[in-house]
Amino acid sequence: MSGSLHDRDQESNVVEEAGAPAPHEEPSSGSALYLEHRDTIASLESRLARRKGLSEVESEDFSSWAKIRLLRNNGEILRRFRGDSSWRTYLGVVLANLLRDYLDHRFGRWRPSAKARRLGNAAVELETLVRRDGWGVREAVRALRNQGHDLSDSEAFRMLASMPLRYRRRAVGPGALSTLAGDRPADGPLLADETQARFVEVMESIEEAMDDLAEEDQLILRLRFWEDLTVAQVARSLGIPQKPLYRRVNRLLDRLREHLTDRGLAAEELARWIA
Amino acid sequence: MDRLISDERLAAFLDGCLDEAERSEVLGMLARSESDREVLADTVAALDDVADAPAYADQERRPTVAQSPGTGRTSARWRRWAAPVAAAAVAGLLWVGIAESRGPWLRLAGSSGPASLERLGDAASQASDAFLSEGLRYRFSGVTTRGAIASDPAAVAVGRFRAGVTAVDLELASGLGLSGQVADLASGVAGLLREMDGLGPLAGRFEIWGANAGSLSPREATELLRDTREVLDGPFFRLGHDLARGRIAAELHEWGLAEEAMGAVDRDALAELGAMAGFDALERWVELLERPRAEWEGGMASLIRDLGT
Repeated sequence: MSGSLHDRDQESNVVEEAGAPAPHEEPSSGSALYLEHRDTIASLESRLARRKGLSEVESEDFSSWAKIRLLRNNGEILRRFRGDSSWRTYLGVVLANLLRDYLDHRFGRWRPSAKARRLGNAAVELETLVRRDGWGVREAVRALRNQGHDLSDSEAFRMLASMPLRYRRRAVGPGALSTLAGDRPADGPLLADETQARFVEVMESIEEAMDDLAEEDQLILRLRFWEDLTVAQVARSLGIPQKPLYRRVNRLLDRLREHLTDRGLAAEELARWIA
Repeated sequence: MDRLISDERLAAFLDGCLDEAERSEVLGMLARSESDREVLADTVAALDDVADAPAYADQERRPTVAQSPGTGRTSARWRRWAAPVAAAAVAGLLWVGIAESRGPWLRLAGSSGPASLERLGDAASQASDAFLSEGLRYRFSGVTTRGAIASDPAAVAVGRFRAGVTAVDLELASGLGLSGQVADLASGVAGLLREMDGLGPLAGRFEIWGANAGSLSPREATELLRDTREVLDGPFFRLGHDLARGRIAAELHEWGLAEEAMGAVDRDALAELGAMAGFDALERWVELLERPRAEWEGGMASLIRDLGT
């Protein structure tokens, strides 16, 4: 296979830079391929939509949206399949990518995480205020309470901690808490509380520590904790043995823990946040 | 960030069809590209959740450069068992929920946590295989003759332990009445028992069970397994059985049942088994199972909790 990078299609997909997609060995029309695999497509669409926390209506909308794109240009996406993988896996990747495009199309580049959507409106709004708009957690909680949401500070921290990390690293190093206010919009809250500042500091330290890890180790942790895959799924994703992976993850966590400890972030403090 | 990896290439990566150089390149791209990681993770989760067929069905006939022979066996085991056992377990939960009478050891619907097929597939594979982690499995599979097993207390213990783990899958499959899976699992247990002196008659019962899997009612199957278990109820069989139940229950977020199962784990037997087999990883499973419910939740909370404990 080509090892070149790939450009992103305007709407949906990436295509090989090196020449036009090779035709399927037995040329079939896109609609025939679609009909042949429609059960698998429907099954995968349903599971992807559930993982992303789409409502039933959104799920149906995504399904129609994907169908149009799968059949576009006489099913170009389907005819691009060259047998380098199973059809099921290929369709899984294609539909996961289409779903990503659908969510971009629907919600814009920034969109609430699947976890936030599963947790409900309060979590979606909390994530939006804190992660997208840069509000302080407690200020966001106050705003949500004013909107009628029954949410405590500790619940908000737990919610945020359970969501995928979408933290934008600051240009300055850890400890520069005074810069936090500068990350916010002018009309946003003025002061960060100490807990949130500490949270940001920890996240930055974790990112720093991640930088010191080998690529595969980083990938393992990001798939496990950022993308919320199980260890077994991470193992299958990367084609590595599952059982040693548990120990490997633990070793990597030990390294992150040491890194945090070196920066004065005690394990007990982390545990206390989540308690 | 835009994606760096084409759909075709990412699919080939997931199916283990790239050579080592291509695989390394894709790993590097995945490490750099959040978008590609998202697509990969969503794909794996969706494929894992498709219970009607193993996700990577074509992998056996393709090159898998990243996997050792041992990994291949593990993967093959996972492919063979995970989907049917996951389906069996979910349906088993439904079944035991409506059954009027059942053995207490089959009561997998004892609490209110939501069942997750995704997690269950994971749990099923782990309960079937990973309990016998590297050292333990090596010790067992390295002994291949009846005489050798009979003369090796560790091998006998591991065999009983493994039979206990497999029996949990058997219960789940029988709960659904999946005769094919019941036949396979019963045969698996029988094969383990045949290797041990004095357990031939018991192995025969499992074989009969497997042969009649399609004609037994769930109640009959339950009673048969209960009778069998009474005979087998040595410390190592019980240990494997309780650990497997606890782990599946915990993965299902059936916390009440997990606590119940883990409460029954004989720590002395665990230590003895670990010492005989020269492997201590079982302790790790127990530690995981004994963690508070909140610690099983995923995402960044898991990371922070793991760092904080």
